[in-house]
Amino acid sequence: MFKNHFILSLVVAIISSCISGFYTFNYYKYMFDFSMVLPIWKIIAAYFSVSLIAAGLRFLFDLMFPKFSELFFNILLGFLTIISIMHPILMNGDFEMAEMYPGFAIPIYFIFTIIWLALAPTFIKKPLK
Amino acid sequence: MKKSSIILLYIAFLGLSTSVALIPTDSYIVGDGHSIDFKSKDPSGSFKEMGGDIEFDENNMDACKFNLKIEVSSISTGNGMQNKKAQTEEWFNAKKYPQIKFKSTKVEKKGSEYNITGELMMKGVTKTVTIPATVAGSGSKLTFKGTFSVNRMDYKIGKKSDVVADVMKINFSVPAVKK
Repeated sequence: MFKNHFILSLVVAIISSCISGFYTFNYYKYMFDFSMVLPIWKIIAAYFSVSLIAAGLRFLFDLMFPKFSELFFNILLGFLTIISIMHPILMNGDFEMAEMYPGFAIPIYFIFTIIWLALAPTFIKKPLK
Repeated sequence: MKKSSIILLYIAFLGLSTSVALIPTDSYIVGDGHSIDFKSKDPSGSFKEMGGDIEFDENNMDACKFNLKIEVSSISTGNGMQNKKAQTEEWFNAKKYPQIKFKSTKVEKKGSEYNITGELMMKGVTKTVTIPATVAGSGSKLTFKGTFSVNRMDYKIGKKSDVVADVMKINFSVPAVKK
């Protein structure tokens, strides 16, 4: 059963990394280069880490709340995503164009959640019994 | 695939990705006490203000990056008239190009020296240059030092003159403080 969660996490991490990599690469090329603050490899590693943690959490939710696991997990995921955007907003970095950084970074926080919500029903079809 | 092997694979992936994500970037900013001196037969002087970001990992040259900016208006030749003249359209055109910029593209280690190749932009002209540098210090404060030459005519700074030399020798000392 956990196999599906694990595969989902890897697929979500790979797709999120591709989309974010494309966005970040072009932002750094055409808008402003924040690679000193947030290198692309770090975004990819963070996606894999967060995605695997999310898979473990979703599996636990499926065991603990078989009927409402999807609802509870998605609410938690949405809540944590919104909370997480406070990080770039409150960062107050000591680097050039720091005022532009939140505008650049916030979409990166949402890409993972959007991909997860889009793909999770395909991989985790039924709540565990 | 066995359940235990999936869990082991999961733990391995999680450990690896989390440890990579948590690696601190070796990011520095230009600290106080920097000096950018230029020397020729005449004139000589320095730029007093500079800033920028440096990413430096002596074990990973691919991760090293230099993004530096020098304020043209901070030029000091020891002669007020010359300082003003240096900022005019004929020379640095400080109004249109207020900063001299350097962005590295490649860093190579050659013995105890580093060759920093990058794009030097002055007065709207960008040229690829390689700057040799040594690094002193460790941990939270590093100092990059070196000498290189710049031909001002390559950057259309001033006109050919018998009084002002074409080639300027640049001596720099850039302290970098960890963010």
